[in-house]
Amino acid sequence: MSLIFLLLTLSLVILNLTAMGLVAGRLIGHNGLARFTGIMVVTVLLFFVEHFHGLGYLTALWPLSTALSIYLIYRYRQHLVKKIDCELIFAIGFIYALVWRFFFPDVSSTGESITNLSFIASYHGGGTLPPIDHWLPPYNFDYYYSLQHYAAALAGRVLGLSPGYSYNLGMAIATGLIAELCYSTTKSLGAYPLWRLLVVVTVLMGGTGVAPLQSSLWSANHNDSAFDARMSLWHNTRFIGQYDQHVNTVFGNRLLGNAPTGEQTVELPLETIGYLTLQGDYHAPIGGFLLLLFALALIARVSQQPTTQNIREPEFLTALLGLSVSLALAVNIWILPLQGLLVLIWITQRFVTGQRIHLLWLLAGSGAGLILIYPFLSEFALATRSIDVQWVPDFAQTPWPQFLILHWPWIFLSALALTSTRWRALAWALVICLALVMACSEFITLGDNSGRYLRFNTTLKWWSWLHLVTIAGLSAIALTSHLRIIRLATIAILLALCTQAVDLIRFVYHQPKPHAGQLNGYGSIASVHGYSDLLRHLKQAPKGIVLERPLNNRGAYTLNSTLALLSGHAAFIGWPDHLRNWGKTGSIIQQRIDDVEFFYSGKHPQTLRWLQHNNIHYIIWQEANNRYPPHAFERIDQQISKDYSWHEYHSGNHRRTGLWVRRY
Amino acid sequence: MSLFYIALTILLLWVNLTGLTLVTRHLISHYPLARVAGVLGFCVVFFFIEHFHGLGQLAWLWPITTAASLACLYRQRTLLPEFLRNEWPFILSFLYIFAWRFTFPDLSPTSERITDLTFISNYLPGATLPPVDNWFPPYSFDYYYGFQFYSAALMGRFFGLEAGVTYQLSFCVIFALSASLVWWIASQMISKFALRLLLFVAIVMGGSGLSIFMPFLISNEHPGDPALTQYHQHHTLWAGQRFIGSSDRHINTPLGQRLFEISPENKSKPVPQLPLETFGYYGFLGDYHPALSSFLLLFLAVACLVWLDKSPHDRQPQILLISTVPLMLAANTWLFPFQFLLVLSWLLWRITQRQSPNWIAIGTAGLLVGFLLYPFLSYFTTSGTGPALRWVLDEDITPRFSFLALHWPLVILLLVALPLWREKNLVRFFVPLFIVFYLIAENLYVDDLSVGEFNRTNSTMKWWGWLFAGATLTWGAAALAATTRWIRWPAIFALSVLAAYSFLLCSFWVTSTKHHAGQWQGHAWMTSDETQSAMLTWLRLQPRGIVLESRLSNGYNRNPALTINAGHSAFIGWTNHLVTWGYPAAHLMTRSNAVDRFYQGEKANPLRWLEDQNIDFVIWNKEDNIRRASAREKIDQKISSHYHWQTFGSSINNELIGIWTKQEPVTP
Repeated sequence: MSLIFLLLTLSLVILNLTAMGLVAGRLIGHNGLARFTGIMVVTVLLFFVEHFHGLGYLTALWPLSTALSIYLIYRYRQHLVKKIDCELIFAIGFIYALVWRFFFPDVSSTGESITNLSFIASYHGGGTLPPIDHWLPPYNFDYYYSLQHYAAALAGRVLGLSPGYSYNLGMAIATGLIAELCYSTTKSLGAYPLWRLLVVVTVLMGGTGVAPLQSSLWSANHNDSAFDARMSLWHNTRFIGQYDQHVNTVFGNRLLGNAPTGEQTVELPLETIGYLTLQGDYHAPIGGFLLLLFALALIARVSQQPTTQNIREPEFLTALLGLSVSLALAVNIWILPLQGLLVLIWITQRFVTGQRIHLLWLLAGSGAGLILIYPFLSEFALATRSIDVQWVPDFAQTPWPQFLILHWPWIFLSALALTSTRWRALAWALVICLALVMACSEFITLGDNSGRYLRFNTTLKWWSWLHLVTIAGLSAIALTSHLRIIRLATIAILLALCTQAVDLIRFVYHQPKPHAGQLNGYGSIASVHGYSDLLRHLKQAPKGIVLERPLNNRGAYTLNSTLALLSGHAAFIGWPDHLRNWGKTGSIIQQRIDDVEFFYSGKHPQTLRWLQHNNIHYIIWQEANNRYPPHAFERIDQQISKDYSWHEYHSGNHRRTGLWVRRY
Repeated sequence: MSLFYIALTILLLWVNLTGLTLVTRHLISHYPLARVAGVLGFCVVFFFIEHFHGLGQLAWLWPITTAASLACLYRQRTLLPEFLRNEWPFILSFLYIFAWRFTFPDLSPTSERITDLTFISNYLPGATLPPVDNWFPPYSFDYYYGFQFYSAALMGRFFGLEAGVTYQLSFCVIFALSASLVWWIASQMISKFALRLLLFVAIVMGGSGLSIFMPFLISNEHPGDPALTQYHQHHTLWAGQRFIGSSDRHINTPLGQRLFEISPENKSKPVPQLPLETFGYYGFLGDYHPALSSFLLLFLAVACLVWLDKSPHDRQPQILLISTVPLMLAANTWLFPFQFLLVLSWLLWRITQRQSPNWIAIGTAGLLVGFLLYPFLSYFTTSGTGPALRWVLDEDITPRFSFLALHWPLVILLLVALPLWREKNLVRFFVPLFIVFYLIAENLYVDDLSVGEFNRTNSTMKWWGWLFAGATLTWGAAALAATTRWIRWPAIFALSVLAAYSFLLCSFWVTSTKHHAGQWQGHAWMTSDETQSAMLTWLRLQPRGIVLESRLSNGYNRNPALTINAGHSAFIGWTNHLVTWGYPAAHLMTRSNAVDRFYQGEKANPLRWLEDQNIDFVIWNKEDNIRRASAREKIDQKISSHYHWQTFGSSINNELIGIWTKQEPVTP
């Protein structure tokens, strides 16, 4: 049955997104860029509007928008037929990601799934922006670049889906768009259709330079195929500073010599889309990748000098390029300098080669973007903490052997792309851009961390960006080369990177799927003893703040707050480590942690007053709370029974589970 | 007076239905199909809208719609003779079932009448959907395929009816709608009136292959006792339906015992309970259960296929046919796989026949109805883990002889229909279809939470009746339409055996006592007691709230019928049912234990508990006095500061019966 609901949901999503693409196509041409443009414009406009007035739940909208979409699709069906290849590629990417989310729909405590869920849950209520932070109410959620999460929540609000469902759907739509934009770039550059597909597959499923060397560096010791496959992806992305120390083959040891260990190492990750798919993280890099691919597709389209009926198309496309730079502020601020650099170098290349630039349009697009996200920036800029730019110290330099193992595709594909005659100028622009980005990443770091994590976030964001430009941009140029040997070499490199696809498929095949199809993300949480009752109650209860006691002392990567978030409520406190990292005042967080501990031990001096002061509506009492300290339940109940009613789901010694609900 | 009110209500309903039919007639040329399509379309559109915003009471609408219907009737008066010629099967079927409901109107705790009444009462307030579950507030009624109940409540809201009357009237409507389709199918396929009538009676008033023989298998052991004789008559009516694993244990004639090998030793041996509930049996049973929807949608699908057999390119039947699939999901999910397979088979059939279906029409219709049900599906499909389909275990396999005894008329119909294979398209479609469906039903079952001999009970109860009706209708119609006598006469014999059940029904209707005839609210079985009547009247006047009644058992008892009839929410309904529907067992146990402890007077702080649970009324009834009379005083002492006691009567030992009502806090 849930499959039928899913199919109907997909029909609604496809109809509405296709219509958005058709409308956008009237301005910028019916191509692979139109759908993303349509979605982006609608999202940004509503993002702007909702900073003045929240529109609440929008479920009444989908019947109207769907009816309109059906009309538009019927009216512009000829255009749809013309770009059917783009439609199919979007569908393939969308279904590919959906298969992942269908089999592994849980919002799990590993990775950043719960973090992202908290962002989506914050926007899901539809209040005036910035919304209340669902990890630290009543403070505002104004410190994170979260336009992509707003977009997922918007889809959920329109279709009446829960935050968990919105999360999974958002991931699938984003992947579909990544595939379409990537395809659009290769198509504009003129690659042969089969090679376009190869590039799309490499972007979605390919690994880093480590991918083809897997079996030469590590010998698998486990009979667990799913575990091996997972490790394989981790080797690819967390190679330098982590898994290079676990190399266990003769060849690997000879190649890397004695890799630095312990305090001497720095972790330098590079995350691919395949890895994020495996992790199921609807994280900001996904949005960053989308903007990058959008910019690449725009550049390719303008460089192609299309001959369309719309004589203004190049101008509109250039304006969108400007918009993409501004939006990086709200989508993934880490890539803003890179996105700006890419556009700057491309403009310079156009200027040097004597091609039209449409500078005014570029500035207008960028300006429009800034205006639209200005209300967001007015909060965000003040709420985030500043990040220091530091020189990379000697101990944190990238070891050369590891660097070469990870980045050889960039080096080879740069060289291959430069042999292109048709796209020589563009190839040079991209190669210079990437060389500058790599140089920057080797000399400076944005210091939001220290020690072995000094360069972690910088390389995580920048190298991943660089890797994607290499695959989607440079390889696409190289594939159009007039020299067969260049094309073959490029194909060989892409196929080598695609060896990671085998691991992804192995993982899907072998990994147990206990919660397949439960796209609400309830699976893992509902299997915790007593949680399914709590979830049911909270789902139907008026929205409020939920108090829950963290059951271990870890400051992050726990299931804490998931119950509240999945049911659309705010958790009194989320993951403390993350909140601190985002610049929330440490004393506030520590005070909350202490207060929660005091409360659950039954020793809080002013329990009722504290609850009222913090506007807490629901208090979860889990089975584990009965164990420590004894008789805390009775003490708390006595203190708060005047204002909170007790609802018990399990009773008996040491098994009591339930919920206190504030009397309204 | 009551009869006059009922007659007037039925007249109003008929005028409105006629208006709707005449409007829909512009799209669908056959009246019975136009009426069914109109009703379904009307209900599904409201169902969709009310998921966004509940429309509350709609009683102000009927004067407008009635005026519009009358205007429509006047404008299309030239069509009226033709309309009325087609109308009599609907009217007669309505009157037939009305006779049952009118004379036996009790909505008592046997079978699922109270359950169905509760479902209707959930939807009656007209709140935004999903509504509050009146058996487990404050949780939502989001776990059940409730479209049929919503439709009933919509009609009740339309005419301002109370839950019981809504139940009775909607039962008559859905039954008559289904029966009118059966007649239409028969009249399209069979030329002779008598043969049409035979098929009609075999479906609408028919039993199983065993029904008519039950008097020969189970004899009345107390012929002198009128009460036990009536019970025996009653038992005979359902024994042929709930035979395997149930009434076969009660066979007491030598013939029966020899045929079914019933001996004192194997009588106690557990046998899977595999009931077959035919459409005709539902008329007698009076359960407004989702099976009625599945019959309606089955007959509608068959009617569409008959239409398409004559006019393969007509769009309307294709649209209607495809719409039955999503509708079945919302009306009776158990039959969804079969309805889906039926329509899928038809699509494949058309493709193999090189008569491509109208893909645009069916795609659009399927999506449209799917979208209209989308808000419902958004919670229904995700409210719990769906039951799984499993292979039938060895110990649950149907006893062959008993199966044959129930289904032998179908075997005859099959044998006589097979020779028509070459000349009739519909035979080539329906014969293999229902054989495959039977094979599925015999090899697979839906694993709900039932165990032991009840493993397959729900599956066969839902599936066999539907398959039986479908096979009887399609195979029977094909055989009766045959020109060859040796095909027709065996079919007439087989259908006559099924139709003979109508004699048992009529005999029971005539001879049984009708204590509460005409008391259409359906609660006379309870309110014939003055105290209960007084409590019900008083409760009805109170603002809607949560009522606490004691738990007499885990199901099929009178509580909380008083609450539901009064239009309130019961703090807890029948726990066994709630568990089957997927409520977490531990939570239910906690709540039911708390209720039991409260009525035993053992709750440490009953006042706090009542307030925590938002309970507005607490009923202390005669059964509570029987179980622990002294507890009332104890409870009263503890809760009287906030709950005011009002006496409505007393038990035999002068122990009080009454209701505690929550007092609003007095603001100084």
